[in-house]
Amino acid sequence: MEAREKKKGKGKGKEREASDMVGKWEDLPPELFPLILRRLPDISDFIRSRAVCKPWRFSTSASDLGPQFPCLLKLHRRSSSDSIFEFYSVALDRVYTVPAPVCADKVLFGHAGGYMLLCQFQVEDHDKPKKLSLVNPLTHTEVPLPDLHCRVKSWGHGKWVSPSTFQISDDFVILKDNAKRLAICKPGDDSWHIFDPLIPKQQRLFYLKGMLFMVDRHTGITTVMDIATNAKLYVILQPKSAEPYQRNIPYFVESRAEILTVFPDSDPDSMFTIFRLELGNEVKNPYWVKIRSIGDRILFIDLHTGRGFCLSENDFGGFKGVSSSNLRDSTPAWHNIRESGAMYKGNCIYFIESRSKFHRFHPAPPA
Amino acid sequence: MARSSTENMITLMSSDGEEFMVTEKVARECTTIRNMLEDDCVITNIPLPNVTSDILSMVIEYCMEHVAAAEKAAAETAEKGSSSAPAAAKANKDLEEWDKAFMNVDVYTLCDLILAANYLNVSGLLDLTIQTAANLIKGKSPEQIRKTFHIQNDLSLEEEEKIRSQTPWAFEKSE
Repeated sequence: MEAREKKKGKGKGKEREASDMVGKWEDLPPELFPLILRRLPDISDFIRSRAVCKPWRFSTSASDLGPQFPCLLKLHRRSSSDSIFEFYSVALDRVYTVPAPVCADKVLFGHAGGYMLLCQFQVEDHDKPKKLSLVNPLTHTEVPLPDLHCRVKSWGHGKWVSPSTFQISDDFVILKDNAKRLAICKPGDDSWHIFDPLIPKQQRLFYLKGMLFMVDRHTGITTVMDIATNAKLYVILQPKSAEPYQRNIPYFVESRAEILTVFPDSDPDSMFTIFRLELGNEVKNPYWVKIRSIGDRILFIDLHTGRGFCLSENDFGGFKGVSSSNLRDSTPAWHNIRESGAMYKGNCIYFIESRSKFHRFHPAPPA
Repeated sequence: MARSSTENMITLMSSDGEEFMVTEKVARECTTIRNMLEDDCVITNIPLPNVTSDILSMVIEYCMEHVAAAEKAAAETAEKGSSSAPAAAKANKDLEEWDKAFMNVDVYTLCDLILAANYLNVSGLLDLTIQTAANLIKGKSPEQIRKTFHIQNDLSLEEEEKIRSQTPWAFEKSE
């Protein structure tokens, strides 16, 4: 080893010989690079660090990307030859512009689990089978789905019913038309299975853990169906001590193997209550249990679809929440946000609506 | 709390032959040393051929500070029967501030500390140094990262161009 001159003061720094300057950080054991990269909350920081040198690139993989705060899809701009996505990162208050040529001439039916469900754009020709695929806008990976053969106009504006945590290997792709009929398939299937579960208008649909939850907005009663067999599994009553459901609620979140429902109390500007679904056993019907604390979880809720997902606060060291002033300042740019999201931090919950409205709810005090 | 005079002392020897006497409690902050002590409880002299004296003294400084903070918190809990939340929060904040000041080092020292924390298995210190490295990366272009960490670019122009073309949006100038 070369002689090193000790710095004064703290005596911890070292002056190096020029030859000593090279090959230090590159020589870090390969198992340590991913640890560093996992601490980068901004996906572009992650990508840029993997472009620094060979050891940093080849000792890491795309899967080392740490948990990400959700980005809101701000704009999906389509021209005859090109397609552009704009994602707004709430946590970092910046917009990513992602060109997605593979998405040109396609209509967006929804997004989940990093994928977008796109349908080939067709000029009012309903007889033609609809070509659908799942596209990852960051990697341009395209997973084809079977053609949807149906003459009905209502499928022109399908909606993807999916958990935010959609897993391409495990989950069904469920498409809902205007009349709430469902088309179901898995990537690799030959065709879609189409059926009509006779869902009344006031019901919302959630697909979690292989089960279809149909929630009546007026009565709060949830009917649960097994998506693979179409069998009706349970009828769950509205949570006790909950006020009647209002418009656009409840929100359903799958969180650490639990199913949570979140909804505001009668004064929507001040309170909300969270319940956990207790699946019970063969004898007992499932029921909702009020929970007082969600611990270190951060809940994100999409106001359009009512679905949400959960991240751990521990995954975001040093994150102190998004200040409301930040969001208000940036509202002018928000008028064309297509999707919405929300986050829960510490003792308050933040909802972000598509029309630049920003709500903050405090948790209900312990009963 | 009065320190018991019979507390075991351990001698740690750095790669350049310097000896550091520490209490067993401080030494046990390093999981690698704790495992050695558990395998052989009479061991009192541990050579650490991978750690220089500069770095070892820093690791010990870190361990001592964190052991002292934990002892203080435990003593307060014992005294009052339960820990008071504001006092605990303040102690945590003080320790965070100390960690922050402790991380005021150049990138070479930081690298050595990561290696030592990894080798000695001091999870708190590894966590702190890894986070510090990540903070140095944030918002920088690949070229700025190379400059910060004194890294030579060994990627060919073609390789670099390929990476950029896959995700051009990630290389847009950060605001």
